[in-house]
Amino acid sequence: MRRRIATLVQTAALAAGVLAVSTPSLVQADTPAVQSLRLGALFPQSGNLAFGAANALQGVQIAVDLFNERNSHGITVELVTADAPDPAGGAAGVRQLATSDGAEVIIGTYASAIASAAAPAAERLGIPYIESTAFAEGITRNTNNVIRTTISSGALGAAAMDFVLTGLAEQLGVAEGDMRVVLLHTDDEFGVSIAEAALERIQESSATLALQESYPAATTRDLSSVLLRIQGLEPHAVVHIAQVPDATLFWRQAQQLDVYLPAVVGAGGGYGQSEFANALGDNINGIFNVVPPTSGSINTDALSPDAQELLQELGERVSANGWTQGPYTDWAFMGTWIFLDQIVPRAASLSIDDLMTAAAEVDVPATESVTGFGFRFVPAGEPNSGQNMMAIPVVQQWQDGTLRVAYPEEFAVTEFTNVPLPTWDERTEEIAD
Amino acid sequence: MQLALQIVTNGLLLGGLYALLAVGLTLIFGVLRVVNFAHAEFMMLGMFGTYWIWRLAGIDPYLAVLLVVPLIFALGIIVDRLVLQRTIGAPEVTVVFATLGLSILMQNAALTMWTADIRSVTTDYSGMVFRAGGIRISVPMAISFVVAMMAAAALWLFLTRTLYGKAVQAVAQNREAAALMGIDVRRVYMWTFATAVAAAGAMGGLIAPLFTVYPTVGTSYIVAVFVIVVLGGLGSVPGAVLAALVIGLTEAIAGYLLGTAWAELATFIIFLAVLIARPQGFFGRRGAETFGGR
Repeated sequence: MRRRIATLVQTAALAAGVLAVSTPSLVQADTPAVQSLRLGALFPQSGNLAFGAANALQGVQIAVDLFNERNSHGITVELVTADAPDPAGGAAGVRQLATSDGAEVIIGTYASAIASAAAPAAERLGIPYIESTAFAEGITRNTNNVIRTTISSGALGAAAMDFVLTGLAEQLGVAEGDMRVVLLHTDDEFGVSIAEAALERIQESSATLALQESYPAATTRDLSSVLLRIQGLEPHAVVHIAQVPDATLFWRQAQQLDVYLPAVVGAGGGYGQSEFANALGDNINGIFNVVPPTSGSINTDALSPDAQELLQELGERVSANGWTQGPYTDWAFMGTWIFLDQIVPRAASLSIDDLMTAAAEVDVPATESVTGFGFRFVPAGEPNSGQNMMAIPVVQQWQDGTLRVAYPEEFAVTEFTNVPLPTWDERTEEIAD
Repeated sequence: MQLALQIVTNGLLLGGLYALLAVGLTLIFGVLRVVNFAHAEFMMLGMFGTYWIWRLAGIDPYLAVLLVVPLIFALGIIVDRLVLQRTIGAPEVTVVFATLGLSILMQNAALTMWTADIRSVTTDYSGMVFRAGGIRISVPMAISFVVAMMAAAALWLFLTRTLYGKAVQAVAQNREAAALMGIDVRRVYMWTFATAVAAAGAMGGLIAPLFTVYPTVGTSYIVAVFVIVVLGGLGSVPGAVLAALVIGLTEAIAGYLLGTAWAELATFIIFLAVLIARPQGFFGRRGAETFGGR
């Protein structure tokens, strides 16, 4: 039985009044206090991360253009950009945007490490910071000026481990208390912050953490040793937080060493990238990845007409520019759109306090978003203030070389396959004695 | 016991990969007295060259290496003419910054041409292994290891048994005296640099079926290879090979016993311990970082 996100549609339909509250029409009834906005976009435009980050910046640009063209609130937005190739460049980019370019609000950032440097730099200058694409927990935990429209790594890590201990355990036919889990992650901020949340979740459970190990993603050339340790532990599942090179190395060496992995759950990063799938070929099928949903992974027919129109506009503009639409396009576009269309019109000014107050009033259901997750922000003064509480991850599974949402049931567009994964002998490995 | 043998095998195979890169780097230092920070970027070019030949022409990666190596050799000659020859006699810091600048230039040129997208060569034999007494040996790793050892041995024989190799040694020992004896020092520099970076390019091609390819891939190798070169003794080809195997083994054993995060730390502990006991490295000469081909 194919599961759809029909539940969301039903909920939305029943709560038509709630939908009305969240639509722009109510917001535009009053003349907004803010009439114009100079928005600084801070993303890597050079260096290693530039290629991936291009989609995010394109999403921001499209949202700003569309917002200005629709002119629903009488607010004019001017976009200025700065390059943030690395954390130091991120902090410098904030200074450039705030002091030279006159940006009143900054939106970024694509990479957690860069955001973790840029957001505090903006706070020191009294500039509000919108985080549309970076996940690290500390970005909102350690600052008071950040409104994050996307998911946090804490939610990602907790969701990954929660899936292992519930949906996956059930599929494997193993009781939670009998589950043996390995947690393997990179030692950068991205990996550590997701791993901490996953660790917290498993420590609350009756399952066994067989091994937790970290490694430096930038310099790791060999994962054979940890794979041999995993082989001896015979875990039911591995939660692996990795980028493309180390995720690829992990799987290739697992095959070479005949290390059997019954189930592996990635948490964003490399496990969701097409480059990872290309490297693994058919061996990709059955691997899980936990991420915030995007238009590419949900049933978009279940979105509201407004959201479908927005998605169509986005797609047309991406195509018209010869760009490609990826997850970061969706997250950055929708994050920018929510900020401009929902938060700014409600704000008394562009100060941090007024924007945080306005953000706390926003309540957009999942059906109104091209990403498939809604928007409701933690109010100022509370722990993790500014974080979008509605950014809930879903579990995708690689099936026939594409990622499809398989869990939780109400979001799923497919059923599990390859659980547990086949052994290497059952695959097409060639062994010469 | 079988597990221990598997760990040792993994370590030796990893060390073999390092060896081919380290041999070239130690050769450049021994002869040219140049610390080549751009060395791993030639490996990156070897990986990309192999990738594109495989991707666009469908040529097997190991055959593609045969095409890539002459191209990188030619590039080495050009780089030597345009950059290194112009730094002869300049302060050491000038040469250091020249190669560092070359490294940044090559990385950014690759980023511009091929983007930061991560690519991979996937062949039928990428996951192929053979068993030897219960030990699993990756076929691509074994091929890389054998080629690296053969290349290192051939280089060593060339340097120690041929007239031209002896000319290279003479330049390494005293460039002025060698010039006075009629040796064309600039030509020796050029061929040495081109040969060394071609070896790095060969390594890049050989590991393309194993690792992902991206413009900054060299940065994950360069520190380890510098450690190997110093550990083996600056300018010593056999020392570089031995040190590469020691570092590979250390990473594999420490990675298993202490965890992957500790593997790199363990290599630096070994590195410091050896240098305290023997500052010139395994086969280096005390007080003078001269190349001896030994």
